Amino acid sequence: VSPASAAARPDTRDRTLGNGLRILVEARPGAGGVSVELVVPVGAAHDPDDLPGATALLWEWQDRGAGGRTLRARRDAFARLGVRQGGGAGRTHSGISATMLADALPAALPLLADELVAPHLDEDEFGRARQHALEAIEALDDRPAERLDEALAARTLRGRHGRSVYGDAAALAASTPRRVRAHRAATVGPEGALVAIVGDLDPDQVLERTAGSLEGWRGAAAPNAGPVAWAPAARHGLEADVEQTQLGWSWPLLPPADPRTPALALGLAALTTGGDARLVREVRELRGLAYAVEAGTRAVPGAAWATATLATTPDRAREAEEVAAAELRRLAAGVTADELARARALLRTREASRAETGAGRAGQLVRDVLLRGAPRGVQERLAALARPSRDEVNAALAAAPCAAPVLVALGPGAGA
Amino acid sequence: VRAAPHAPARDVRRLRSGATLLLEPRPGAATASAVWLVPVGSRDEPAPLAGISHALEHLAFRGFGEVDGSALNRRLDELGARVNAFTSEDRTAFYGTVAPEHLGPFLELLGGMLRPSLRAADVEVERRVILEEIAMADDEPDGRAADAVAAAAYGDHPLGRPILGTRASVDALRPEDLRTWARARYRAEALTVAVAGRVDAEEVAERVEAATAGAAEPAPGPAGPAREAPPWHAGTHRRADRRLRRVHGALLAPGVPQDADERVAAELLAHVLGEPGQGALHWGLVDPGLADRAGLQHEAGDGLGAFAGGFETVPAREEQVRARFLELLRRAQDRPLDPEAWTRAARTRATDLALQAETPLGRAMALADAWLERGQPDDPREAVARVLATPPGAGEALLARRPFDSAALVALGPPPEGGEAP
Repeated sequence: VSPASAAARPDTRDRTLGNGLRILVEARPGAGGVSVELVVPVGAAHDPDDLPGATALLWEWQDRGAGGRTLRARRDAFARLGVRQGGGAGRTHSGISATMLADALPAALPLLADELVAPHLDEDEFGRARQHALEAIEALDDRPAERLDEALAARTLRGRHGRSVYGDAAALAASTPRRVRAHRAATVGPEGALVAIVGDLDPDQVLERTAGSLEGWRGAAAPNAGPVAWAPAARHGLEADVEQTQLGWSWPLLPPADPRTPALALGLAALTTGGDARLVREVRELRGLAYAVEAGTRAVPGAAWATATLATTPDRAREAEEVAAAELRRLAAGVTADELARARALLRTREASRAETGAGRAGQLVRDVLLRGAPRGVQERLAALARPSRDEVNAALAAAPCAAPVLVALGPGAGA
Repeated sequence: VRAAPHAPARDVRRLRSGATLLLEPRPGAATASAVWLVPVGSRDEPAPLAGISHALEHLAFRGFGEVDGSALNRRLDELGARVNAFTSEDRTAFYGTVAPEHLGPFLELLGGMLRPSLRAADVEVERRVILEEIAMADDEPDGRAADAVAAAAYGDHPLGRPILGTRASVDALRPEDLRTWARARYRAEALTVAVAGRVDAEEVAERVEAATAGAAEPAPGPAGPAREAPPWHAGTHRRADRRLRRVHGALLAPGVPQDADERVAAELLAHVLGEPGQGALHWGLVDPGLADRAGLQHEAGDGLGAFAGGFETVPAREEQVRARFLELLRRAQDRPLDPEAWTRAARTRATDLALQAETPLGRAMALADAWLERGQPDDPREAVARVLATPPGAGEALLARRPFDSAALVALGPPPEGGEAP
């Protein structure tokens, strides 16, 4: 713990174990429970070239028995403790998460650790794990909004980072236990991994317990996936027999560790944060073109990009596309002082609300460490939003222009 | 399992306006949240007005008095209000979270939203937004299957209609219909306001009193027709949509109402049978790879409740999954519940209740819902204790009524090979 942050946050512990795993513990006296986020630096970007989806399949498989317990015995053990458990594979990181009442933590920690430290990876469980991974791909067929998200990522990021997290059905169907075990041996280990635990707890005691559960973990570190490469701005039309046309835009932002990132976040908030944000007003409030229009920031270590999405009936898709594109172009010219004041107020409430749940706060700690290298206290995060001037916000917007975004249209006639 | 640590001070006040105010200050909170709940929803609507409660909820964001929609939204944004609303079968809720220093003006705006202007031009634009929302719902087959099974089970009763209404009914809504509906339904005496977080109780009471004093002038006559019990039609149905690639199943079976003592048992029973990743349906359908989703929950409403379930699978396994889904539920009616599974369900549910109490918004929601449903303010510690004290026998008593023998089930999927399904 650096002296400055330790003084500012006496209830936070930050330790990196000898095996490379970093542990963050934050006490919130009086909170209802405890939340745990355990993140490993391996994802679809690290999948072997001939087995896209290897990480997603591994995450299914390692859940199916660990630490001497079958999948069902593990689920029952978690439920007996009242633990809500989740997790999955991501683009550059994958993880497991859990929420529980505070007194369940001592028994839940070793159970959670088992999945990473001691998965069985039984041959006779492989078939079912593979089937679940394949079904997750097939289930996208009836979900156009999720298909848009996949298509947008694939057309925004080139190479490894743009790969589908779900993987490739043909490659997964041909995969073998040996191949997936080899992938795990080459990529899953404590180096660069992170566990964040937040809640009603004694931070020193929990730090020691967590270290005790995970210091014996050994494994390789995933090779660096390399820098993100951006695909050129272009319009892509994808034919789909659905009710609405899905429209999605994306464009590169400043890297997440860039000091201008809070200023940029304030500027981007002018698009869809709040009922009077520009895209909401122009698309929904004035024209009724869509039920919802949403924008967000996606990030991996070293790179971030913005997305904006909406869905509209096909005969109004052209108008919606033009209205939204005009607003994206206009944003490069900057925001007004009033818009900035509203963005500050709205983002402040969002930050403070998220930090009020253990899961939300654990997520903030994980993102801070993965994307910026160091955790921030809640007040520090709020101060980062209070600081930037309008000139700084507008300079950040100019440095990450959205005048020429990638656009994906998915719907009836969109492929023509 | 330890109960939730909060022992919050709660305060119930009947305001001069007729509204009920529930207060739960938490001095250490970083935010303050408010929920305004009105007991009106789709089940109160005559067929020609289907969707009017939901439309009115949308139009509440388009201004009141001298404040137009743009000014209202801008004012909410200036307060940093993270605000939203929903309409269900039996209630409409407006809710949001702000920094504590902005709570007063936020409450004033929420109060104003219950007196919406309903300008003709705004109604036209919002109509288009709602038609887009209906189109969006058409691209969500799980929700469509749920609507289809409600129609099958409840027939012509309003509970058998989608909350959003239909394209035709939304097309036909007129500003005067909305005005009449607002006057009859958004009345202060029907309103429950719950406020939680870092709040000054006296200031909140004054603000809500002032904000509700001008709530809709009472319309002549009762607040609306009494809610009638719907008919119930059991049966299994197939609906075809050539655009779908997979089969989406939805089930309804009789449950218990929101104010019934058996409500907690019904929730735990649904958990034992159909909690995703844990319940009997998971181990019987999802884990063996027959379905990629299968679950069941209990939904308690005013005067009635239902077990609501669903599944998703590929067309080749539709028959098998549908039969097994029903078999797993019906077979549970013929044998004792596993007490271990019951305890696991109770502990998981206790965690959910305790974690809902983490945020002021979670508390305000729980307070408002409990008041509307059972006429008492929610206490998270009592709620957790009640869940942990409910024995498996209470679930077996519900199973003895054999709810799944009279289930309604709809499978929505691509037409069977060789022709269109009816």
